[in-house]
Parts: sequence; structure tokens; C-alpha cells
Amino acid sequence: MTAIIWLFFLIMIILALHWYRQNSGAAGAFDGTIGYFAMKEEPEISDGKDKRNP
Amino acid sequence: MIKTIALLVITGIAFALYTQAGFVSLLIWVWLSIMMPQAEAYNPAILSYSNLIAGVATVIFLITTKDKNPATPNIFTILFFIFTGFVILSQIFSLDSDLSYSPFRVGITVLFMTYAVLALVNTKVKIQALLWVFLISIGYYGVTRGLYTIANGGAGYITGPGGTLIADNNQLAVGLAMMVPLSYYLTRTSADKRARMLTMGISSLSIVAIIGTHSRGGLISLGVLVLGLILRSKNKLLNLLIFIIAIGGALPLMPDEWFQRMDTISHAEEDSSFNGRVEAWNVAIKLSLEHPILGVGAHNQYFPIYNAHLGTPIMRATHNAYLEILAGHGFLAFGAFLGMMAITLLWCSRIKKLTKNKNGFLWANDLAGMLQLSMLVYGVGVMALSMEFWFGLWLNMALVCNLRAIILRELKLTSTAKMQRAYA
Repeated sequence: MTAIIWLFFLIMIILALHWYRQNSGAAGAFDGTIGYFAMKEEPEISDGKDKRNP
Repeated sequence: MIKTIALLVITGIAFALYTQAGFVSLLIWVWLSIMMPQAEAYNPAILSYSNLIAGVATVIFLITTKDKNPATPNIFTILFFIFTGFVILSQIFSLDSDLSYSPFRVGITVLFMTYAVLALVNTKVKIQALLWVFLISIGYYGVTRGLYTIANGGAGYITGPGGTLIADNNQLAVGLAMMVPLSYYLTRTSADKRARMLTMGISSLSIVAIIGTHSRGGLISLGVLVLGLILRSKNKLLNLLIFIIAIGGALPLMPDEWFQRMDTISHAEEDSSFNGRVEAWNVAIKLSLEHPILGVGAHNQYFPIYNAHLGTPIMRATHNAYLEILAGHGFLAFGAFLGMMAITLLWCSRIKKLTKNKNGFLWANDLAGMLQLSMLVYGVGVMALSMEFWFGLWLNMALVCNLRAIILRELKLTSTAKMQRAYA
């Protein structure tokens, strides 16, 4: 069981490194919005208030 | 054997990614240093060099790349170099350089890694990638130890990976408690549901693991963490209720020995473990007064040969990160350390104020709040622990420094663009 979790975390590390490479400019995108670890696009603040869920 | 082959393949893929993006070397170095996957492989010696290779690759990248922060000094970097200077000097003039060499080596490696973060992290994507790698690396211990606690009904106490700064149960508890706010930030900023599930799973099992460490300092850190998360949320009452139900539901599953141990927090003065720590703190303070400029050298105060002249000789760790620095490296290093912590905590508040309800900067607002909370958890947790060179703290401080630079740069660009539009 521990070995499976260990391997899972190693694969996650590779995915994180790959995500960085995808978004670092080497693959064209610069803003972190592509791939498994993609960042959310932020909502537009129109009336001066952050309306995201707390 | 299979684990060794798997790790060799995965390390190979990681270094292949490094050839395409140099910054990956720092990510690999952080991963190998924190998670230490080689420790669980069949023959750790074969893979021990991968950490060294990652460090050397980072140094080469640091020297050769143009994509780094300009070497403009600020209060934090000045204090950082003063602190590093005193750490080096205290080793050179150490009372026993053989005894202090091992903790010095750990400290100087962490300081160099922090310098690499300060120099190389200059974009949102790099911050995000570094946080993911750090979270996954330490999250592994949160998940495995959390599952162990559940499977054993909290019996016995769990510890961290041997030979690291989170090796004992107390250190593991504080290390995990510091990581939870960063995990919360990644949950808030990740678009993919699976990534959010990963962060939530890591956080939840890490909280279980903190309880499973049977650490009283860990419980206090957990209290600071929960209080901080509630105070920073918009719906405080609802979050308070969620935490009460979750922790109230989990505690009855813990064995009686856990409650007996936690109960000693309220009568610490009668506890032999606590009294031993007070004795060690006194030794550290007295020795720092005898050697105020450079201290006695890292950890030398632990040994009777250097503390016997104070009265009762003791063989004990100082169990307080602040006093470790005071005794080991002197008053100026101690002042620089406190200064770095204070300035980064203050900068978090300023970043939060600057980015409040600003389009495109909500991520920075969230991150500043969670870095601040993570440092507060550390600040309280290490009052009874020797974790002065835990990379989690140094990463937080360096990221605050970089985040501030990114925000000031981008806000300046935004206001220039607005002015250009207004005059166009």
C-alpha cells in the first residue's frame, strides 16, 4: 500500500514538473492556465468586491 | 529493487525535463531534499548522488541564466546575507567545529536553496510550480502518516522521515501544520477538480497525522492553524462549526493515552519533559551571554563539555528554534532572523492591502494571507522545537519577498498602461 502511495506521489511530482515546463514558455504558454495543475481564471471584479466562495 | 528502478526512471524523466526548462533543477532539488524518495528505495546509496546532481544543476542554472531577479538589495536580502554571514563565521570560530559541522552543513544548504529561490522565482508560474512540488513532497508524509493513524486508531505515535528536520513527531506535526495553509491556497487557485481533490486529501490526512503525532506542540500549532483559517474566511461561523464537527468527530477515536498526554499542556510546570526543556533554554541563554557575537557554534550547547561549567551538565537539544540561533550563532544572527520574520509578516499584510479586490491579483491576495498564516503557525510551533533551518519557513520568507517584487512590478505596469490609455 505504502509503495503504491509512494509511486503515486512520484508521478504527481513528474506531472508538476511537466506542468511547469508546459507553462514556462518552453511550450508556448506563459500564464499557468494549461495542464493538470492549471490555475483558475480569476473572476472580473466589477463592483469592487471579491465574490468568490470563502 | 522495483522501487529503485521506478525511482531511477522517474528521476531520469525529471532531469530530461530540466534540459528543456532550467528552473526544473530547483524543483528537483526541493523534491529530493524534502520527500527524500531515495530513502525508501532498495539501495539509497545508488540514488543519493541525484540530490547532489540537482544541487549542482541549480548552481549552473543560477550562474548561466538571464531569467532571474535583479540583484537589488532590500531589507530582507540584507538581513538574509547578514544572517548567512554569521552562520558561516560561527562555524569558523565554533567551540567545536567537528560537533557543529553536521548542523552547519544542513543550515548552509537550506540557506543556499533559499538564495536560489530568491534569485530564480520571478513569475506566478514559478511560484505555483514550487508550491506544488513542496506540497507533494511533504504531503506524502501527511498522507501516509494520516492513513497509519486512522488504521491504528491513533495508537502509538508517528514520526517523520529519519535524518531530516521533520524526523521526530513534534517536528513532523509543525512541518505539516505549516503546509496546510499553502495547500489551502492551491485548492483555491486550481482549476482542475482532481488537483483540488489532491490538495484537500493531503490537507485532511495531514491534520489527522498532526493529531496522530501525539505532539503537544503540534496540537497548539493546529489550534493556531484552525483559528487563522477561521479568522481569514468570509463565513467565520460556518467554518467554526465545520471544524468543531470534524475535530469533535475525530477525537473520540483517539486512545486514552493521547488525552492523558495532551492534558499535561495545562500543568506543564509539573511535567518532566517540559522542565527539561526549560533547563535547556536556560543553558542556551547563559551560553549566548558568554558568547554574544558568534555564539558557541551550531548545537554545541547540547553537550555537557560546553555547559557543565554552568552548574548541572546536561546532554539535551535546546528545543526552541529562536534560542538555537541565539546560542549557536549569536545575538546579531538572532536579530537578523527575527527581523526577517517580522519584515516578511509585515509585507504579507501590505501585499494583502495592495491587492485587495484588484482584478488579476486575487491569487496574490490569497497567497500572501496563507504564507502569513503558515509563518505564524511556525512562529508558535517552534517555541518548543529545534527547527530553525526547516526549509518550509525559508521557502515562505523567500516567496513573500519574491511575491512583493512581482506585485510591485505588475502594479506599476498596470498603472502605466492605464495612464497611457488615459492620455492616448
